[in-house]
This record gives sequence, C-alpha cells and structure tokens, in this order.
Amino acid sequence: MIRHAVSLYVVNRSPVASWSGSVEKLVQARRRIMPHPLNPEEAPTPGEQGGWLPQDEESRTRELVSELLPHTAAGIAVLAADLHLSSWNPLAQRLSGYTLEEVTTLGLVQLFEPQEVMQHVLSKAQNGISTLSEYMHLRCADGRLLPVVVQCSTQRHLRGDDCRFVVSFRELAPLQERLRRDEHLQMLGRLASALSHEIRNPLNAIFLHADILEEALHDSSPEAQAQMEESLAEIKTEIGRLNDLVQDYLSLARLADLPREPADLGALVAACAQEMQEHLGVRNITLHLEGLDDLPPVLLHRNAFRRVLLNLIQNAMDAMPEGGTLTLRGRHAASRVCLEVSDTGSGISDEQIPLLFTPFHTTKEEGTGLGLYVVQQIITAHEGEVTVSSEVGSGTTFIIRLPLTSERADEA
Amino acid sequence: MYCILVLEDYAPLRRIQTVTLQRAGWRVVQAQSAREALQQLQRQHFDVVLLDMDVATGESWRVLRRLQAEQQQVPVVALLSPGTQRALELQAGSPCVVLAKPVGRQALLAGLDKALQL
Repeated sequence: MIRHAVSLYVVNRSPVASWSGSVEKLVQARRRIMPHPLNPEEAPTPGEQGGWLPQDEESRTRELVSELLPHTAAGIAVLAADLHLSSWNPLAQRLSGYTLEEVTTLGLVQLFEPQEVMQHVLSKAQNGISTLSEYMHLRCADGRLLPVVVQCSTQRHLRGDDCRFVVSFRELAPLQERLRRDEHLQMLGRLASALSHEIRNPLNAIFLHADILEEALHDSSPEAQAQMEESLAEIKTEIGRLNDLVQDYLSLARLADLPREPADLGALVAACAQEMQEHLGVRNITLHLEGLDDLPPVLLHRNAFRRVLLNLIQNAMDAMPEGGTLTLRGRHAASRVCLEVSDTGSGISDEQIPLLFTPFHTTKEEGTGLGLYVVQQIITAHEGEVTVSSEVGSGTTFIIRLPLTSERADEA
Repeated sequence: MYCILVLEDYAPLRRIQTVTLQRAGWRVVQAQSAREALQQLQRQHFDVVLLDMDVATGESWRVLRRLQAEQQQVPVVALLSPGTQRALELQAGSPCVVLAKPVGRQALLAGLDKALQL
C-alpha cells in the first residue's frame, strides 16, 4: 500500500490525501509516458487527450486505483458510460447512508440536490467536460441535506472507445471549518501585531512613572509625596489596561475552539447583572431587568458569553458617568432570541457608529479598543449578530440576536 | 529654558512625559493630534519636537513630512517600536534622534540632549 502511495505521489505531484477523482489524470499521465509499444508514432502529442497504454500497465493502474478508492478522503462513485453505477466507496456509503445496491436502485442523480445540477454535471462528463467543483447538497438516508463539493471526471479506456465517469464529493463542513480556522489565525496574527503597539504605550507610561517614584523616594517634600501617590495610581490604571488588553486578546484567541451547550440565557444575564450590581450602585446607575424569565434555551459558551455581557455593561457604565438607567431586556421570536443592553447615556454620533466594532478604535482614555470587537467576534462565533442603535443625548442600545437551539426552532 | 513640543495621542503617556520633562527643566507644549502639532509649530519656535511615530493613522509622519517640506531644521526625537524598518528613513530626511519604545527618563533626556546638538 505504501509503495503504491509513493508512486502515485511521484506521478501526480500531489499528496495522496488530496488526490480524489483524479483517475483520469493518473491514466493520462501514464499514457503520456508510455507510448504504444508497436506504433510509437501513435503516442499522443502534448495537450492531446487519450493515447495508448500497454494492457498490463493499464490493468496495473486500474488495480492500484481500486485499492486506493476506499482510502481517499472523498466519497467516490464510478459510473459506466450508460451511467450505471459500478463502484461506491466506503466513505460515499458513510456520508450518504446508502449502500451501492440502494444507490443503484435510486439512481445517483436522486441523491443530489438540486438534481438538475447533478444531471448537468453528468451530461458534461458524457461530452468529455470535467467538473472541478460544484456545490450541492447530498440527500442522506436519514433525511439530512449535507453540503458537499462535487467533482466529476472522465476515465477513458484503452483505444478511447469506452469510458467511465468518476464522481467524487467531499463534505463541505470540514473544508469550511479549516478555512474558518485559517482566517481566525490570520486575524490573531494581525491583532498580535497591533497589540504589540498598544501594549508599549502603557508600558512606557509605567516606565516613566517608576523613574519618578525612584526619584521621589529620596525626597520628603509634600510635592514629592503627592507625585508618588499620583504615579502609583497611574501605574495601577495602566496595569489594569494591560490586563484588559491581554484578557480581550485571549477571548479572541479562544474563539477557534468554542464548544456550546444549551443554556438558560436569562439566568446567565441575571447572574452577570447581579455581579455588576455593586459597581452600578456606586455610579448611581439603576438596573432594570425585563423579559429574562421567559427566554428559551440557546446554545452558548458560558464564559465567552459572560465576557460579552461584561463588556457591554462596562460600555454602558462608561456612557453614564453621571448615573442613569441600564436595561437588560430579553425577547424571542420564531427562530431567534434577542437580548438588548440599553443605557441612558450620552449616545454615539452617526460618524462613530461604523467604527464601533473596529479593533483598537476607542474614544475612551482608558479603553482598549477591543471590547466591542470581542463582543462582535464572540457573537459571530455563536452564529448570531450584534447591532447598535443610538441617539445622541438619549442613549444607546446594543441588540444581540442568537439562534434558538434546533429543537426549539422546530417547535416554533 | 528649552521649549519642546510633545505629540502623543495616548493621554496617560503624554501626561507623564510632560511631568518628566518639566521636572528636568523643559517648557512643554502638548499636542494630541497632527493638526494641533502643526498649529503649534506655526505659532511658535521649538528647540525640539518629540514625536511618537506609532500614533494612529500616521499622524506623526504627517508632521515630520511637513517639517521636512518646509525645511524647518527643528531637531526631532522620534519614538519608534523596536524592530521597525523605518528608523533609517527617519534619519535620512531631517535632524533626528530615534529612540526605541519603551523609553525611560534617562534615555529620553539623553536623546533630547543629543538632538539639541544636531
């Protein structure tokens, strides 16, 4: 098996794991390097389709392909020229839930949605045109519609008077997941670079304050004492800011792996509000909770969502330095749960609203510029959305919309 | 008494830079944006300009380009994140001392002394 894999790697110049449905390529590659033994002039010119392959070479190639079919990372169906299904690999069976016999009875086209697209793919193949990637749904035996990417190629037999079609399909979710992870890593890389700048400013301030403290240690004047107190307070503030930056960054880094479970959103919001009650009281902010008792369960990562709530509540507090009212309001529609976080603060201007979720954009002296970006990223990872409405002088409302768990959505 | 213009958009850092420089005997004028800095440069003479080159949206570079374009030979002390490739570019255009952040009091004052001699 290993010997075959190595030889395939050399011929195809691509890893076997990503080699699927390329039977035609393999056979053609071998045709190109193996002219007909009796009549070398019949060897195909470069770019020409088909050609001669000695009988034993072609048999060996097909044998090798048959051995590999069960091990490819794609579901593979091989059809004869009359579109009769002749091979259905184990992954195809696992993905679809149908055996070869069942698919033969049903017809391959019936397994794909839209059927017209699959029909078109096969018609093209009959005219010698390959399909590189067509996005469809696989209609599984258990009723699920599985998003797949489909390829189709033609495998010509000796002398080109017979052919087969190889249809391969891959589940789209793992591909999308890999893409999502790649994008996430790129985002973290960009943020890490920006973060290094953001960290240097508080560090530099701490550095200079430490120098001032060192100097003031040898000075017993009241001015020096006052400066010491001020510098210590500033250092604490800057350390807090550095801590916030790191926490926000870690919240984003962990988004790549965010397992969710059904949770009582209302109870979680009420618990968070309770946690912040003391801070709200000190700032003369009245807390109102509305509609939190009747919310259906949603899929949440509790800690990540707690970070969302704390960031939004902190934002609301910052918007109401003279006190006001913070309202946490829950409601639910057919397929969504909404949570509103409203303040009666100064509001946000129309020019600032498009910049709110931009990383490191802040209008607050002690803000990290990551708070709302973190909120948005966490909500997106929950397949939800966050929007904002605001009126200068009246206040701001952030609205989070989350999907219901699938069972509840079905009930609705 | 020497006079210095400090362009820094991060307020806590600007405040402690000002305290540090005042304690060392400098007269300090603060600016938090390129616009403010350019207004101050038109209004009065400075012996040195302290620029944080990491200020958002390239504001400090705007100030530096203006100084170069108007051929104002005001020495500049530029604070730069370490590892950046732009230090050489900075030194090529105008009398400039480049310091890598974070900068302590001693390094800052030494940089300013050096700038005064440019």
